[in-house]
Amino acid sequence: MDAVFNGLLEVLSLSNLLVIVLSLLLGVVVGCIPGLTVTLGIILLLPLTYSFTSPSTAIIALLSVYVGGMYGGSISAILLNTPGTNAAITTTFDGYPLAKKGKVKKALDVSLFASVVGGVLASLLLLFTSGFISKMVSNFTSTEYYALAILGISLIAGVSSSNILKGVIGGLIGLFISVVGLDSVTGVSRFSFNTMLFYEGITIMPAMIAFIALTQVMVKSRDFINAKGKHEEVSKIDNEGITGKERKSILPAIFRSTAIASLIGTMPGVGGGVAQFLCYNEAKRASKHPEEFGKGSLEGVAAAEASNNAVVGTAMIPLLTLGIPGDGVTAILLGAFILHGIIPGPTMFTKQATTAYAIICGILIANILLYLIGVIFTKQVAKIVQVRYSYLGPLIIAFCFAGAFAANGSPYEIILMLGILVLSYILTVLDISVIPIMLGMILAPIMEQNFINSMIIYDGDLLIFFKRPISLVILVLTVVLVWSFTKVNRKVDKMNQAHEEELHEAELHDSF
Amino acid sequence: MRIKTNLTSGIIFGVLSIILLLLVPAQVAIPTFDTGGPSPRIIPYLVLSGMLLCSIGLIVESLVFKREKVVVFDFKVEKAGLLVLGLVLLFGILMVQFGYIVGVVVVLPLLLHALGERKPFIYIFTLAGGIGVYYLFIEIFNISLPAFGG
Repeated sequence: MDAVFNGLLEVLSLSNLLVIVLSLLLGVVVGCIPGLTVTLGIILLLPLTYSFTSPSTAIIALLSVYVGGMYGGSISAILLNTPGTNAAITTTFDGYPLAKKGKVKKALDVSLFASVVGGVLASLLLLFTSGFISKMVSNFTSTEYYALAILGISLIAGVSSSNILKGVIGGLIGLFISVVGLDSVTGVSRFSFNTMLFYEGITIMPAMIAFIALTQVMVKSRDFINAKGKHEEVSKIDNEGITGKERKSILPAIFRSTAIASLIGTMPGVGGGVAQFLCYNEAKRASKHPEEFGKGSLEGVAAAEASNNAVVGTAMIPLLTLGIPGDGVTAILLGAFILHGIIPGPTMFTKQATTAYAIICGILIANILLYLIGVIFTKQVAKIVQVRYSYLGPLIIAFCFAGAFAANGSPYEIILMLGILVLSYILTVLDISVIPIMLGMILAPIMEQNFINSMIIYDGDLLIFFKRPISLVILVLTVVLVWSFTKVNRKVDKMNQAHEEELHEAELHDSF
Repeated sequence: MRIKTNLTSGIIFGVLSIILLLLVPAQVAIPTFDTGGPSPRIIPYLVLSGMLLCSIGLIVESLVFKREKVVVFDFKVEKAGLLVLGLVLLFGILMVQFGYIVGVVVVLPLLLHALGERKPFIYIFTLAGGIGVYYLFIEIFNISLPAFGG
């Protein structure tokens, strides 16, 4: 209890609150501009957090970008019919029709209210369960941790790619990249090809920037050039906000979505992309007015937005308690934790308990402050939703290079980043997702360390991972979950496709 | 150009993993003393063997089960992406050789031109922004960057 109180006190300092507000604002801006993603926002902010004296402040800042970005994604979904984030796809289903009816302010209000309620409830869930879960897993040994790392990497590799084998290859590429350089146990160099370039290995920061930020800029710039800079018309914001009665009417949808999304958020590898579809469908099924869904239902917007913000909170449960990221964004966050010297997992709740609870309280406070930010700034932020990409792309590139160099001040980092960028382009052409690669890189040191420890303790017995019961259960669970989530993902893809076809047919019908 | 991505990925990563597997003895030395732990070669062998197996799986999926994801590589569309990639690489080379500011001053205007911007204001705004990033790192966050001279 002391740790919770100390953590809360740490967050409530004036400087931390200011950091949260500014990061939330950055998140909302990044989330609302199509082409800028939450992941990109986190990667851009990460080098700047090196100057923060407290690692928890740095992590809270990054998490606030995540929270703000999830809400920001709904702004462009409503105004432009273009989701700012992947987790805001279902927001377009009803948000944009509402905007077309001239009810932009109402849609944005619903989105903000649902985001905040979903986010706060999920943060409370995180606060009350994480300590308990970490206690439960505190007896895990290196064998179980190795199995957990396998679980995390397999799930994300399995579900983030269109083909499971390609996903696994991605994860293995990440593991291989991290093998390059000096072996931490024996001190021998691995695949350094006798050059200083590879001798110290390939660090996470330039890889994150190349694989995610610069690749996104490259793809977005390509599309911008090919579209000759044209973009869709933005809807104007009116003044008619949500009424008290409407607020009450959407509460069941919000609570239901929060419950489903919270459960899904705790499962490594699933994330907000899947949660939103399941929540939207459940809200439609349980609604008294299912016929309004897809035509501007307030419940539809609420269900979608509550789900994606709820996922932010509960996705942190496996990350903080087990050290296993829930989705691509939390994988990047795990990298940020490691860069700031924080090792998530049960030991974090014993050795760095104040930091752990400061981070959790930070998410809670960020969700509460999101309401304030939303009320004050949404109208202003909405004006930049249509900013030309040519104004942003070049500056993001400059920022990426500065950030990559800042990581440890070595020109080698820049050279490696360029090489990784070329590799990333080839992988994009080959339809191989880079998220499993990043996760492979981030989890590799944890995996290797635990593997080596297990081998030393159990005298090189490779079958030990199948002999210890908990480890065996985790490995069996890995296979079962990868299989079932791949099926769920396919189902969700079909649902999305069916909705797009429905919309297309409706548009054709309208045009006649 | 139509690319059979499963088959192509399988071949590329299959060949790559075989080459790297063959290189393991030359690239990963065995320590001359007993560390008490497993060989430093074990993880590379496991990872590369896994990659080889998945690559074979992709080739079998494509050739035997006829399951394929075909991506159309249209050079007319990709030309713009390759141009941006080239400019990003140029930024990196200039930054390493001559410093960050040189990269900003040379590459960002070229990129703006490629993106179709012609108004002088945008060029001034972007250059000021790029140099602003330099001062943001140096002055506010106390993180050093090479301005000129690499």
